Amino acid sequence: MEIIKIAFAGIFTALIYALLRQIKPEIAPLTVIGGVTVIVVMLAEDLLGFSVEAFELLGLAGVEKENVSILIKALGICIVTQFAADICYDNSCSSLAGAVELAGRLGALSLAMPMLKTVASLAIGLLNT
Amino acid sequence: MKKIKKTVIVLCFILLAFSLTSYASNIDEYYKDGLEASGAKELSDYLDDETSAYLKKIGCEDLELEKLLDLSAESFFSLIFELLKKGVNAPLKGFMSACGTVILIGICSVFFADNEKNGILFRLIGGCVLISGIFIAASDTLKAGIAAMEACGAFEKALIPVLVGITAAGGNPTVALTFKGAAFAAAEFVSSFTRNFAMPLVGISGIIGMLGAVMPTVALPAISEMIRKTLTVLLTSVASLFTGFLALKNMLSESADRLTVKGIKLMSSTFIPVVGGALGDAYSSVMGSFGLMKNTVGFYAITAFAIICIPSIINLTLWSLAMKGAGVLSDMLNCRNCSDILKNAVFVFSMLNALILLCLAVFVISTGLIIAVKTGE
Repeated sequence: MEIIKIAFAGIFTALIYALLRQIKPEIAPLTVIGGVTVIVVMLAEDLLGFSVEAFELLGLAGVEKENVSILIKALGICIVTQFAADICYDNSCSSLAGAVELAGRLGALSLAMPMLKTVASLAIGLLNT
Repeated sequence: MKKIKKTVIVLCFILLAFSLTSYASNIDEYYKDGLEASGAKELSDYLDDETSAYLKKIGCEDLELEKLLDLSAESFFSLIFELLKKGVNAPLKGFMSACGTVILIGICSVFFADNEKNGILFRLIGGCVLISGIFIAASDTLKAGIAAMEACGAFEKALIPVLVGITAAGGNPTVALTFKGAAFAAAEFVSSFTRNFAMPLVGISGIIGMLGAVMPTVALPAISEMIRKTLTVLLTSVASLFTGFLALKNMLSESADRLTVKGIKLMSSTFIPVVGGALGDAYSSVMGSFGLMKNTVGFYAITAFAIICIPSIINLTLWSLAMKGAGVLSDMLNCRNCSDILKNAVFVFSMLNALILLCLAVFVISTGLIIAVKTGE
């Protein structure tokens, strides 16, 4: 993992943000968004690698690929939502942050819906047998 | 004179030898004819192919006394070992799958240490993955368990008329009547109790427990715990009450029948001159053959009940152990909701196992009690 690069990118973005907030406060949030995007892009490769490894390992353990994919997608949704909501909170837009969090939750839940349906049908099957 | 004497001696000898042979063949005929007439030979038609194959493997496919006497513990245990080997695959896969899911949830939960809202959501999804993974893999075992109970009920219903007929013919009409009523009631009760009450309750309790584990904000485990305790107390009470009631009733009926048989013997020896005592002994021998027939059928039935239930019991026990093992891993990773889900899965498997054992115990004890009744004494 390029942790040193990521750490430097984080510190550099924070310094630029602090500087710009004093000179041009209207564009300061853009630097944060840019910094977060750069870090997320840098992380993307590792996240991809992690998900591939997880797929392989859990495939060996006998876990359904579909289930692993749902879990990894849910993880991705939760992380992206968290980043976006934090940026909104940083810029004092709590209502926007709330909307982003809601969207994230809805996304994750819609992802889990087929699984919830399966669980419900299993439960009904257990009750009806 | 000498010739007459010789002829008389030879005739006596032939008569003696002939009468001995005819006595033995009569008892054997009684046994075979009785077995045929009672419908015991058709009992194996009520067993499914798998059970019949297992019975054949241990040498208990027919209702023949010699074959049943030759049954060895070795063949029985080798069958158990074979079933263990056959049944271990699915629970092992389930264990691996549950462990993999728990590890993934445990690792991913690290991302949400500071963000409870997203953490709850992720745990909900993770919980659903775990639940569906376990129950899709175990659905065949669960269905087989329920089918085993139903098969036991169907076999018991086929067995009752056979045992009742043999017992009544064997000089115990009161016992037969008691057994018929109680055993039919037991078969009906067990099948309706498990189907309409216990199984849905196990399912509801398991589901509530799992939902509670997936959604920690809702306090559902308390309800699940209450259902479990009620069910456990209910099952224990039902089993104890039934066996106690049947044992007591059998004891009373047996005494009544013994009194009747003694009365018949006394009457025959008192009112029938010369051969009265011999008639009483012959009556005892015929009754003895009926006793042998009843015990043979009873032994076959108990073995069949065991063979119907044992595969499911083994599979459910293995599943229970697998989930317990995954639960230990979950505890080690401090993944509380996964531990709760796995505990609930263990509960569902153990409870279904307990229901099968209850069903088996009720049928085996009721058959055992009728076997224990002495005939023609």
